[in-house]
Amino acid sequence: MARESVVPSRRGVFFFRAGGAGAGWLLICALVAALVLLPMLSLAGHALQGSGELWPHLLAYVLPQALRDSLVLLAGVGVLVVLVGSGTAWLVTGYDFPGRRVLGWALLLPLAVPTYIVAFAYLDLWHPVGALQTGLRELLGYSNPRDFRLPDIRSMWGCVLLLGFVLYPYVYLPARALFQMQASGLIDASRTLGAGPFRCFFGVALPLARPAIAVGASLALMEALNDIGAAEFLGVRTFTVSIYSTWVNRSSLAGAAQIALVMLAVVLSLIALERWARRRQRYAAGARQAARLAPRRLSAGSGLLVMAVCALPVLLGFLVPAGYLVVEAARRFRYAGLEQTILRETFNTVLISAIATLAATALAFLLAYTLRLARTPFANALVRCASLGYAVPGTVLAIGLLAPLAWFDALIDSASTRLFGLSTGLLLSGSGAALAYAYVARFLAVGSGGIEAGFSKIPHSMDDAARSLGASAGRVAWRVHLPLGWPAIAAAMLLIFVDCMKELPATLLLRPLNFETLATHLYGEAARGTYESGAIAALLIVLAGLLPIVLLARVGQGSATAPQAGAAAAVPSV
Amino acid sequence: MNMPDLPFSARPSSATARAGDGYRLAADGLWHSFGDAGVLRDVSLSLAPGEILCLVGPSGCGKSTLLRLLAGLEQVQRGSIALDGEVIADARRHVLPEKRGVGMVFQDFALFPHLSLVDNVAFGLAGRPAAQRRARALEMLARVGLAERAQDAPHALSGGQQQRVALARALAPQPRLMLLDEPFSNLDVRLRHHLRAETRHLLKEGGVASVMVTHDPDEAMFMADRIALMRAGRILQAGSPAELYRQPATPFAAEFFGEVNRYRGSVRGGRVATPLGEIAAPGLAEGAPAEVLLRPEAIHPLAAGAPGGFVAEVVEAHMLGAYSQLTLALPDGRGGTVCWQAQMPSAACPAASGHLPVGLYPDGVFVFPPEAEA
Repeated sequence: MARESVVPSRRGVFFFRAGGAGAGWLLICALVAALVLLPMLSLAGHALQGSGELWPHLLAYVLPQALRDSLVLLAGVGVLVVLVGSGTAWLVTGYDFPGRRVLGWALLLPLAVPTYIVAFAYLDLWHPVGALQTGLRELLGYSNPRDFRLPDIRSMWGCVLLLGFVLYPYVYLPARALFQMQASGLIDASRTLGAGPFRCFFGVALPLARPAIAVGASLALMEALNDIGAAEFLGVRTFTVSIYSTWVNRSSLAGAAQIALVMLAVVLSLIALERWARRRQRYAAGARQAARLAPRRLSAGSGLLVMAVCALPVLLGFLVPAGYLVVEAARRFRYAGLEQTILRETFNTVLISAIATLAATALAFLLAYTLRLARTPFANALVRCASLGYAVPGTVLAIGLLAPLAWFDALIDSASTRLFGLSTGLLLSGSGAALAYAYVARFLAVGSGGIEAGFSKIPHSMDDAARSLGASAGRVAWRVHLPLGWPAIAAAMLLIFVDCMKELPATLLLRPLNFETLATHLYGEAARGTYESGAIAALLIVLAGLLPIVLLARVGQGSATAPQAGAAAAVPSV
Repeated sequence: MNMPDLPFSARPSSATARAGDGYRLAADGLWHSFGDAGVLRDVSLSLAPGEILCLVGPSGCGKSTLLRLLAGLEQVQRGSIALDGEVIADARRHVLPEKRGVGMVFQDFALFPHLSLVDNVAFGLAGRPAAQRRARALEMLARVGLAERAQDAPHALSGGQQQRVALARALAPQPRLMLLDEPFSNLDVRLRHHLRAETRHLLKEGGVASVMVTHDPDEAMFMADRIALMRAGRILQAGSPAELYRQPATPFAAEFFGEVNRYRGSVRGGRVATPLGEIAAPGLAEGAPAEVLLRPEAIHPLAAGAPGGFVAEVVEAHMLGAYSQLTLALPDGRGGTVCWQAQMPSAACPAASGHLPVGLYPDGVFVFPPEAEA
C-alpha cells in the first residue's frame, strides 16, 4: 500500500467545499461582486484616458488644495473622535456619576444627525444675525454685529468641530463594548496591583481598546471623507467637493474621475492604516465572557464634573441641532402647514430607499449564505469584493457609475429605436434605477456583515442536519436560515434603509431630473441660504436616523439578542 | 497470537468484496486531507444491511471526517463510496447530501429551534401529502415516547429527550444508512447508558445499517456489531467487540479497550518469561525483545498451595463493589519486583498487605514485538 501522503486535486477545496455550494451560488456572487466593482473599474478607465487640457489645471489648482484640506480635516476629525469617543466611553463604563445610565445611550444620539444637517443647523444658529450671536450681543451690550462677532464657523476649525461632534459615536460604541466586556477582568487586576485611575486608563484600557478604536475611527473618517454638504457649506474644499464641482461646473467626467481616483487612493491608505493600527488584535478578542466592569463611585463634585464632560458631546452633537430643527420645523409648520413638496419628497425618499433596501438585503442574504455554504478562499474573496462599496465615497461611486450607465442607456435606446422604432431614453439614469444601484453597491456590506453575524449564531450542524434530511441548499436557506436569521436580517434592513434615506453625495449626482429626496431638498435650501425651509426635511431624516440608534443602544444594556448583535456587527463592517 | 498485516481493512471477510456485493455501504481506499494535514489514509470499510459499525479512536484520528464523507458533507478527494452497489462519491462524482438517503444524528442534536417537535421530525418527509407527513412524524415520536409533546419547542426538552427526537427525525424518512456522530456525548453518564440501549434497540428494530462515531470504547463495545479502531487516519483493526478485546492486533488496541500491565522480556525457546510464568510468543524470533501486555482481570486468585501458582504481595486493595482493584508486587525473576494491577471478584479478595497466591488466564495476555507500538 502506498505510504506517501497523496493530496489529490485541490479544485474542489478552492472553489467550494462539499456539502456545498454548487457553481450557481458562486456565479451569482461573482456577478454581484462584478457589479459592485464596475464603477471603480470604469473610473480607472476614464481617469487613464485623461482629460488632456484639464489635467494641468487640476494638478496645479484643484488637487493640492483638495489633498491638503482633506488631510487636515481627517487629522482634526480623527483626533477629536478618538479623544471624545474613547474618553466618554471610559468615563461611562469606569465611573458611576449622576446621569450615567442616560448618558450611556444618549452619547449615541449624534449618530442620527448626518454631517450635512449638523452643518446646516449650526450655520443658521451661528449666523452673525442669528439667534445665538444676537443674544450674546444683547447680553454684552453691543448693538451692531460689526462691533462684536464670534469667529466665523465657515472655516476648517468649524468643519472639524462639527464633524467630530457627530462622528465620535463610531469610536464610542466599539470602545464602550470593549471596556465593558473584555477589559473588566484586566482592569480589576490592575486595580488590585495598585494602579490608579490614570494608569488603569492609559496603561490597560486604552491599549486594549486600540483595535476597536482604530475600527471606529476609520469608519468616522470615511464618513468625513464622504461628506459633501458640511464641507461645501463651510467652505472646505475636500476631494468630495472638488469632484462634485468639477463634474457639475465643468462637466468634465474625466477630470472628476481623476480626482476620484486620487481620493480612492486616500481611502485605501486609510484602510491600510486601520489594519495596521489593529494588528495583533487577537489579544483583545478573548472569547471568555468576563464579568462586567464594576464602575467606581465618584464624589458629588467630581461626579457632576464628569457628567458635564459627558453631556457636552450630546449637547453639541445632538441636542442643539435637533432642538434647532424642532423649533424651526414647528415655526415652518405653523406658517405653511405640511407642504405638498415635502410629502412628495418623503414619498420619493421612502420609495427609492425601500427598493434599494429590499434589493440589498436579498443580495446580502445571498452573499452571506453562499459564504456559509462554500467556506472557501474563493467565496470569501468574492464576498469581500462585493463589500468594497462601503469604503467607496458616494461621490466616487456615482462618478464611476455615470459612464457605464450612459453607455448602457444609449445601447438600449439605439437597439430599441432600431428594432421597434421606439426610443427608451435614459432607461436607468432617468428612472432612479441608477440611484438604487448606487445605494445597493454602497450599502451591501452593511447587510452582509449583519446577516453573516446573525448566521454565525446558527450552528453548522443545522445546515448538515437539514441537508441529510433531503433538503436542497436553497430549501435550507428558506426553511432554516431565513426564519432563524430573521432578527439579524430585519436589523440589517433597518440599517440599510436609514443609510439610504440619509445618503446625499451619490443622490445629488445620480437622481433623475426633478426627482427630489429629503436630503437633496435640504441641500438645495442650504445652497440658497434658506435654511428654515429645509427644517422639516432635516427633522424627518434625523427622526429616521434615531431608529437604528434605539436598536444599538439596547446592545449595551444587558444581553445582546440576535438582532442587536447583528446591528452592532453591521456598524464596523468594513 | 497471530499478527495480521497492517493496515487492516474493516471488511468482515476478504478484501475481494467489490462495491455492491450485497453490502449496504462500501467505502474503498479513501484518502483525505485539509490543506497539508492528512486526515484519512487509505480507509476502506463495508457494512452489511442492518449492521451497526462503530468507529472509535482518539480525537483527531479522522473518524468524524470519515462520517462526514459518508454523509456527503465533505467531498471525496480520493477513493470511492458506494451505497447499495451504486457509487455515490469519488474524486469526480459527488451526490449531494440531500440526495443520498442517509440519515444523521449530530452531537448537538441540531434540532431546528423554530420548529415544533412534530415539524422537526416531518422536515425530512417533504414531497409527501401533509397528512401523511404528520402521521409518520407522530408515529416516530410515539416510538421514542414523546408523542404527547409533539407541539412543544425543542428547547423545552431535556437533553435525553432532544436526543430521542433527533433520532426519530433521522429515522423518519427511512434512510438507507444511518450516521451517528457522538450522539451521547452531550448527556450525563446515567442517561447515556440508558439511551444507548434504547438507540440500539430502535436501530435494530428498523434494521437500519448504521455507522456510529464515538471515542468511548465501552459505548462502542455496547452498541456495535463490529468495531473499527482508528488512529492517525487509518483503520488499525476491525472486528467484533470480542475480537478487539480478546485479540488486539497492536498494543494500542489492547490499551484502548481496557487497562493493561506492561512487561518487557525476550524470547527464549518461543516463549517469554514473566513474573507469572512463561507465555507463548508465536511469530517472534529467538532472542528478540518482546512486549507483554496483561489485562488486570487475567490475574486471578488461587487456593493456597494450588499447583502452578505464584505468590504475590498485596500492596494496595480497593473494594469497588462487585470487583476489587489490587496492586500486587511480584518478584521479576531478575532480583527486582514489578507492581501490577489486578482485578478480581471482591468475594475472592484478601485484605491489604497480605500474601496472595495468583495464577494467569492466558486469554488475557498478549505478546507483541516492541516496535508494534507504531
